[in-house]
Amino acid sequence: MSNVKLFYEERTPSPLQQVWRQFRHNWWAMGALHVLGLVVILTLFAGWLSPHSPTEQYTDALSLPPAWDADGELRFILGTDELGRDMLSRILHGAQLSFGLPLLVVIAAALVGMPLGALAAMSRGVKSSTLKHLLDVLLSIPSLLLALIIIAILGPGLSNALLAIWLVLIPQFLHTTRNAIHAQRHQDYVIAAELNGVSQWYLLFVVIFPNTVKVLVVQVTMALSTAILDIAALGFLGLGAQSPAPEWGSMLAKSVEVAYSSPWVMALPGLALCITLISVNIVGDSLKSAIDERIKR
Amino acid sequence: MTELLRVSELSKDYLHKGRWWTPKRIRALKQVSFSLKSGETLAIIGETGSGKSSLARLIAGAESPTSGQIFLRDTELKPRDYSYRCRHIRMVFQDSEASLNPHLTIGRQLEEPLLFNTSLNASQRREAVAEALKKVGLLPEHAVFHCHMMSMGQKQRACIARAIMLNPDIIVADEALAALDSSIRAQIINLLLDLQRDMNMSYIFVSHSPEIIRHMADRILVLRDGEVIANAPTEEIFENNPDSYIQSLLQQTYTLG
Repeated sequence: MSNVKLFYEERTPSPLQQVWRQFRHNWWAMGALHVLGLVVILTLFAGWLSPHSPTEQYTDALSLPPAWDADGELRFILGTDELGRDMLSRILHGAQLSFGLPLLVVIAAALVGMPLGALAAMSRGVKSSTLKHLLDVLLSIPSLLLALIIIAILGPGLSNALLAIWLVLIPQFLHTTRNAIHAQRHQDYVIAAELNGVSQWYLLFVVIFPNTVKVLVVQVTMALSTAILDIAALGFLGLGAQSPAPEWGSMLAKSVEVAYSSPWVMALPGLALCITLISVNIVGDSLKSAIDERIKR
Repeated sequence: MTELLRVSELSKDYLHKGRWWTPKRIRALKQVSFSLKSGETLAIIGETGSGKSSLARLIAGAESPTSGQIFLRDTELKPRDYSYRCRHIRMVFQDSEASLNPHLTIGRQLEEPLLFNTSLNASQRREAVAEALKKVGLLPEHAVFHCHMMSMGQKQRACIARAIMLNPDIIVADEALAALDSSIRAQIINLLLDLQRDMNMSYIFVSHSPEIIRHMADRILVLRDGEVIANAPTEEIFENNPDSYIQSLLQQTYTLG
């Protein structure tokens, strides 16, 4: 019976719990988080959720409007495109290409860029400044342009587009991580910890890292929205995902021809893209302000 | 009293951005030498920019000297050798808020020196932290607090607790009292004096306030433009000094710590 608590014990919530409490008070943030959660679920279970195959062409139902329209059919809730493919299935499968793949690319870029950035920040002298100046040159080129250059070398295609965006995002992660750690490196509390005789690993992971999380969270969400947008843009230009693939950007590009006769073919992928991007940005921004608030209180 | 710390010909240059490839060299300290006996309190005074903060940071190890050596009981203290130095010399920073990590609890920060310099297990460490907190007039419960939950005086006490964690011989305080209001400053001064009596520590502190210096210091080291111009017992400097620079330092009526 030793774990019976006789006295009232005040428990201090862990940093993560405090951030979550702050986050929960933000109505917008919770809304965006739910939308994002929905997008993630749709991405994961697109295969089970979609009623038809995304590439199956129903010749009896060409350019059918959504089901709520007088001409619509309940079989195709969001209508069909000019080749008779079910829009709902295409949008759901498109989430895998337009949201799932960028997410994986961002994670992969973060896994490479952040450790390198930390290494650059903790080393000093020529090694660190060479890296810094090299990166400044790379970062002065917009990400989409740089991705275009890489694709011009590798040739178009979804896998090449992903590779290009991965390569473009790595220096961004590297730079942000380096700057975030560098800004903390000479703060009094870091020097105080150093004077405590702590090891370099402890200094980096326990002392400095939690104080850079705010910057890194923003960077991850920024990178995610950049990646989503760039994949869509490359798809739109015909350099990323190729035609039958239900990628939202290439769907938009195809829909331009039929924009007047069947506007839903253009509106639906655009809307999906827009909602995903906005919710990603709101979640990232609210997370940053929630972390800020925790420190201030 | 035996000699505890000997500083010999310590110099410090700062490099400022000059024109193109030649950085401008600024000498903050010019071959400073002095020694400190155990249990003694040394006050470093001087005008702004005279190098007193640099000297404090060099002794504590927060910066590396350009040339010169620091000996602790005839053992040289190497720059960046924190594991030896931190068992003997600890520092209390000017800004207690900036010197506490906003993301770690006070307890975890006090634990750091024990974690890396002793072989105590988790419960022993917790006990040691609780004891240190009690010594500086805080409660063991403060160990679970984050820095932003505490008042300025409590933060300064937490910083002092961190400094005494490893039972050091010397505590270096760089204007540690400047940011506190007068009643809390009086409390902290008494706390420092009590700790000195109980633990037989030496203090090296940088201060602007003649009252505090007179109250606490055994010796005074006067710096001017990075050079030692006087190093004598407190009474001697207060009673008879012909130097107008020293007089102007000691006659300041404001008490800014």
